[in-house]
Amino acid sequence: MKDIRKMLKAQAKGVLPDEKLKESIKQELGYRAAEEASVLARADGGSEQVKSKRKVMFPLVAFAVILLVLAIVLPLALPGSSPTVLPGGNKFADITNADSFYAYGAASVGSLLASESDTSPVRAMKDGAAQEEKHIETVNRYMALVEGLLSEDAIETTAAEGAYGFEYGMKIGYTDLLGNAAYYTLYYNKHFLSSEQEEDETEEEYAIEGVLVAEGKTYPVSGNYETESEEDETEGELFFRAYLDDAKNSYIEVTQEYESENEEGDQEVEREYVYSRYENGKRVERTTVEYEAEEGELELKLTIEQENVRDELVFESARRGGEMVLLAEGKLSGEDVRFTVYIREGGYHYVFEDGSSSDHDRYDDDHDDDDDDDDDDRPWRGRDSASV
Amino acid sequence: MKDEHLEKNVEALRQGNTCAFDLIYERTNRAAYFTVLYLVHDKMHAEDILQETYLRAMRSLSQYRAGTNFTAWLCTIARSLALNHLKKAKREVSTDFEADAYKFGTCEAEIPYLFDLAARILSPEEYEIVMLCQVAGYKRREVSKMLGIPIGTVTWRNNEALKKLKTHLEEDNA
Repeated sequence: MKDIRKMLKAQAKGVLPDEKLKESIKQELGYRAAEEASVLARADGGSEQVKSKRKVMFPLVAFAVILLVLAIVLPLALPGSSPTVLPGGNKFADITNADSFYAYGAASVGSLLASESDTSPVRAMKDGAAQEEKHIETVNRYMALVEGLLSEDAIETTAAEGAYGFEYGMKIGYTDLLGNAAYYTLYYNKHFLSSEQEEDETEEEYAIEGVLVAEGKTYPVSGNYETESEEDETEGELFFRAYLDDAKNSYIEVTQEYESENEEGDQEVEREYVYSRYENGKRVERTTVEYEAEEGELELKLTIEQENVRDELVFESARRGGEMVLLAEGKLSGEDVRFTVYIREGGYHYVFEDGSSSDHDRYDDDHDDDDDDDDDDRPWRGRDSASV
Repeated sequence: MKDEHLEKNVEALRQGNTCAFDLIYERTNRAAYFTVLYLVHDKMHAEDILQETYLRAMRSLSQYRAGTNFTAWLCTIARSLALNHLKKAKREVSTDFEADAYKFGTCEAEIPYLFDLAARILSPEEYEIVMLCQVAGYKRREVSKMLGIPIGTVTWRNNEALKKLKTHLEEDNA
């Protein structure tokens, strides 16, 4: 059955109708001329509604992609000396111990950091439009993470030699929705917290401190993995944090919100990951990522909270006309939105419900953690050169 | 189950908002296309008929009863045009064997073998669902909404279609 599915998918492009057909139909119907007239009217000072809607959609989409990339990379980061492959699908299900948690943390935070550095600043514009643009930029920062989390490809982690003065090293690799691999490296020391012997395996819990190498830059990191089980309930304090300044007042942190309850023999597990961004000790953004299974099909829900605004988007991956896309649906600033993101080499192409579209850079170039970037001016760089 | 957003856009188009056509096309073209391809087995003709389907449908949009099922209405037009095409092709006596090779079986079908096989052995419903789910990439939930049938039916027909294709391919190989 799987082979039949693959064969159908592989041959789809040769069967599906030409994408130009729509334009041809519109031309025949005279819709094309009407649209051109509408564009001219807008250029002449008419409504900018279409444009602004597009701007709102764009940050959300980008945000989702970043989240996806992070999710893929992190699970790969902390395995032992031989490569560990975590299966695709729901990546959270594979986070079962300190190693896999830190791997996930490193990968997802790493992709957020890498995407962040690519984000262009909000341009000067009218208040309303600037707000919408801000939304789009925010979403854009999470698009890589969304891509990674929805990818069906496996995440791999391989132990590496310690560096930067840290004893352990771990290389985390993930594949995005277009099949391109990205790598991050975590160097760290362990601070032992507890251990538990289960049959032949020893489960260790430990905190870490170290550095994360992402896109040629190094970030100081710390983490904690500590769980508590009491009768039928499991809780824990788990976080992974990458610092953005020397004073460690600004950072991006991922925490696992995890609750497991066993009621009358039924094990119910709820798990979500929360990404928080702190600036000068104050939390400025909080994003929750959780999987939802809808009729057996995996979706990713993002809830982004900034100041008094709460945005929600649900993403799922699909194919349209032979291309990989993310379908997004939810609320932005209280407004219902729905859009499709075409994931292409070098860029995201957003198509909105009103037919408008927008293009944005995609975080997909030089997925490498070699920190040989001489132009890097971050203060915490320069201790050692790390080549993995 | 009804695709309210699609209905909203159909209404908007009826009111003269031509921008609504993009979404209508995106939501419906695959279903209409596979309805046609199932019958004509030829990509080029299927595309021509698909174009004609939209031209007819958009020009007679006032005849669509709002809130029923726009995709189903469109597919009815598509099926009717495809059948007309086949009737016409049957009546015609071609003298150009190269141009009309698809009618005479004098060349390889333009669509890959697996798709041709699917059109021959699957029921129209199974064919449409397997094409929408496996080829066009729609989620079963979306297909359910699109065709106005329960998602359980979509899943079942999709699996049945895949099983049939597998069995036939295995028999072919044997």
